[in-house]
Amino acid sequence: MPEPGRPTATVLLQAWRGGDRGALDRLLPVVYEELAGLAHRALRAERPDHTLQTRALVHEAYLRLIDADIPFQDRAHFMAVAARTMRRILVDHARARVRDKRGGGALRIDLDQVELPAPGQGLDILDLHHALERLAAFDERKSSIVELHFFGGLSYDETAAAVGISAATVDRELRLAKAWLRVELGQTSAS
Amino acid sequence: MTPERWARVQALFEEAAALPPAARADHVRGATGDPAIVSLVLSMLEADAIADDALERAVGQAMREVAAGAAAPLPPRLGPYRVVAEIGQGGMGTVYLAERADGTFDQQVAIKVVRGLLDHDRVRRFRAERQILASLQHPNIARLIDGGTTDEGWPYLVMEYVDGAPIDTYVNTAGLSLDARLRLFLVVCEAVGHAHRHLVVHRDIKPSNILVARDGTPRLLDFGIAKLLDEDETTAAARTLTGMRMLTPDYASPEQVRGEPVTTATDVYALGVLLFELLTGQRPHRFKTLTAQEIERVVCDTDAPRPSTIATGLPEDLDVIVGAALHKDRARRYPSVEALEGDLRRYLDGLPVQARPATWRYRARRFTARHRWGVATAALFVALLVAFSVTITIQAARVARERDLAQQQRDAAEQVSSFLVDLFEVSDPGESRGATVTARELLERGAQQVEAGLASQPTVQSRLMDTIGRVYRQLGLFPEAEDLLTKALAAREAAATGPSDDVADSLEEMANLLRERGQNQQALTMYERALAIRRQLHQEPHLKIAASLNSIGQTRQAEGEFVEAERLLRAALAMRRTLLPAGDPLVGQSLNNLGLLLRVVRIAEAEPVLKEALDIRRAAFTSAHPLLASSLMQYGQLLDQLGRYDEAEPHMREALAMRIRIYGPDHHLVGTSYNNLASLLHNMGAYDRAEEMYRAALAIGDKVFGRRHPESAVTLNNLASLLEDKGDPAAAVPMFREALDIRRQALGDTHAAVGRGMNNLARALAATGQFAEAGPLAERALAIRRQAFGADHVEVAGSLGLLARVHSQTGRLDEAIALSADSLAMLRRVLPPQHPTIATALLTHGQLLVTGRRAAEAEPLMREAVEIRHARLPAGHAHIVQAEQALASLTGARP
Repeated sequence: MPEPGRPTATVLLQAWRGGDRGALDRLLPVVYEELAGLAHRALRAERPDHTLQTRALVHEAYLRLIDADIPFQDRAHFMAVAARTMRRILVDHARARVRDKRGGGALRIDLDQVELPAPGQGLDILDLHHALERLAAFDERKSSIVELHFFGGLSYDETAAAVGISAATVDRELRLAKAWLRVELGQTSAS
Repeated sequence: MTPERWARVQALFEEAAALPPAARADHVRGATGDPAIVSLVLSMLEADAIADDALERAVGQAMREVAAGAAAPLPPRLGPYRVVAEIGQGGMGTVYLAERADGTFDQQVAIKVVRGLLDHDRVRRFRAERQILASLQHPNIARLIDGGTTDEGWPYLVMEYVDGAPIDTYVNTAGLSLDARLRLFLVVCEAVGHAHRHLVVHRDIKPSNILVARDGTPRLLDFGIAKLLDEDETTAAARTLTGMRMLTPDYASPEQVRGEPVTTATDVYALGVLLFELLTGQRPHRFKTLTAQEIERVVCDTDAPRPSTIATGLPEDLDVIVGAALHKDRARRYPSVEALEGDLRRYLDGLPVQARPATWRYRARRFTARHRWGVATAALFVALLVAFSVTITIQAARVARERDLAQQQRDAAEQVSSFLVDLFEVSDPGESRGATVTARELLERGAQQVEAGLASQPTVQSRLMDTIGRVYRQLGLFPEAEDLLTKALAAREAAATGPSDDVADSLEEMANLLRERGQNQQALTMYERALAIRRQLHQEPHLKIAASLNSIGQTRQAEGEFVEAERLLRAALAMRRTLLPAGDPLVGQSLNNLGLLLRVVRIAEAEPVLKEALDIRRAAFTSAHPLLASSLMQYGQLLDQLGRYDEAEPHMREALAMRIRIYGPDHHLVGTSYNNLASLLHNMGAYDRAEEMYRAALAIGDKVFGRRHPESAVTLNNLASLLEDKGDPAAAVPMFREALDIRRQALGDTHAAVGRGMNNLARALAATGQFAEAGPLAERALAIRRQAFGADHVEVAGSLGLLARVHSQTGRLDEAIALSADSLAMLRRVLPPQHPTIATALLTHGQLLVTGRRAAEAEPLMREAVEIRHARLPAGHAHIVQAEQALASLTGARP
């Protein structure tokens, strides 16, 4: 029996691009399932470039879900959906982990074995997520650009197409957003 | 961070980044004196310079955790349920097996966590739908028990857990005979029919949703869940995609694939596929690929084979039955599950089956196929639907006995009207966002068709009239609304044999219209009749009874009967709190109404109530919504009355903008908003802007209601007091007179608003020296206000102050001083400290004391007045200047 859902992503994507808000709501769970599945299976090999990994996943999801030739613009928007979904997956997972550490999942995890953050391990994904939410409150576009680039691994050109601005503007805005985020997240001495 | 500050930060960052590093700090410091901005920009420049990929590493680390952690851990608990295991993963989420964590009773449940509902509005509707589904009780339908939201914000549904095998697996492993398969299928049909009679369509019938327990009892899962997950069915855009959701294409009907509205006929089709499978062991269609084009080609254009060509020896009657259930054209399909069921029973009983095409439906369908969805063609669809329902009945009359006729007529009515309600939701101002012109055309055509074409079907006709009338009322088209609502009510009363919910609903709707037109007494009579009927039909607490109490309470309040109004509104609120979850919009509505009343009678108690109402609505509606706009406006008005002008203004402006967006510029609520904002500006001392807005409000009021409406009187009254404040009481007098006259006529002689009108007129008269008329009028106003508000109230204090001024001008100085002292003391009791009105009373009293040669007593009062006005009014406000002058002349006058 054919796998339900697969053929619908293309249609949903195009309907959403055509102005049907509801289509996005139906597309997201499809992408979520696909990406979460890929994430669970992938990453056996450690690679140094982390954004390349999210990019690889997003591209694989694209190949698996989109079954027709679609315009570059539509493709960029799919990537945008995937980036948003990727963020959601990482955040959901991190929250579940936090809940377990707090003892909510004591049944399943021995508290003595809870891994403690190693010194210098750096930023928590939830902190980044919340900082992005704060950024979005006064500059939604920059927040999206960061999401596309970091969580979706989109190139400047792809990001530019998804947001509807030039690649040069993406570069400028990303630089500003990163600087703000680092300050916000205490990654500088002067915070 | 405000957008302005952020723009400044960005500009400075980019300017400085373009300079050599050494020159940056000086440039930033030289460009702004704002230390917070300097510090942020310098930090950002520093952050920009370091080569660090902590942000990237955070994402990479999170990715590795997801990969390493395999599946996310089970949520330990969902609401009161302990999660035991994951039992399924699907396109829309995950299903868990769970049990009650409190161990009170041993109940296993299946919990479906739904991903994909992202905005609040849809989550709210999801909850509303859930209520309907929860009421679906049938031995062969797995019950929806509960629902909630996970820590991550995903909604979930708690369903009865069914331990069984999918029906296709079951019939094969149990080796059922043909007759046994058909009888099992009939049980499924009965369950689906039951749901249809409760206006619930399954939409996703397939073997994995029908589990058969070991004892052979089938249970249907996920009833109506598909609908919960679908976006608003009423928009044409959504329609094109409805069918393409996560449907298994094997069970999707042509209308689903084409994105047309889903009806009970859709379930009939899916049952046809199921029957095909139970008879042959195969599905009717095969898909070469899973592209949308291929699915549409196969489902819409390829006829299914006759079952007997696969399972040889099947009787021809079963071919006919399956063929009629699977008809591509839904108009030629079985009109209901009962019809399919009936034919199968006839087959089992050895009687001839009735399946045959109905050619009129075919023609109608062909016609609509040429007209894709759009608002204009929707009007044609209304006409067609009416024609449909007429013909359904005519056809039914030919083939069925009388009892069936009644049933079918009822079914038709429900189908047609629920479809129309969906359709017209687009025209409801709350939904259409101002697209009223096309909506109006649509309604007019619909109304004509209903009147002309449905005379023979009173049930359908009255339902449609009620629906269209309601929409007319919401659009503010009162005469059209009255015409249809009156006819609907008459028809329903004629049809009712005893107490009838339909009649009560019509009465309520009619009363709403009367109330909106200011005819409160007639409205009350109708509301009370509706309440009496509802009390006969339902046991308290009940939502319909709460709705009645709420409406009556509001009307009593409009009539100035505050004590009774408060009792009713509190009763409605209590009932709704008992029956509904805390954040339910109806609870919000009750809180809001109660808060509005408290605002009038005991203002200090109103704030938390109105704030809770506003919070509920902010959470419930994420975009422009009429109720959110009301709450914003009302909370803003409260802040205005509390003298917190700066907080009030943004709330009111948001409300005004939202209303213009929703209703267009000429709606009466936009007029009201202008009036309220004008009143705030008036209080803030921005007289010119206030006057402009009052006049805009008045122009809209004249257009919508005519000048003789109490709503116009409010604006007229306010405009007059503005003129008075601008120093032109003579111009104010005739306006106050007109406003009072309108109010007396509409509200009678003892209404609180009449008291206020008299007081205002008296004040303007006094200011122009007409004390002979002003005195008695002020006395009368005081009496009315004491009656309406009790002894201690802002408005009573206002009347006392006015009387004091009048007496002082007519030589009764001692009385005047005593009255103004009373007034001041009362205001200090009922208002928050430093309220601007207290300042006015302080000045009045102080000036009287000066006149009475008690300047020493007056001075601290005047000082206090100056302080209050400085603290509470914007700089440069005329009232500040006035108070300062009063104080200066006093201190200057003293030796």
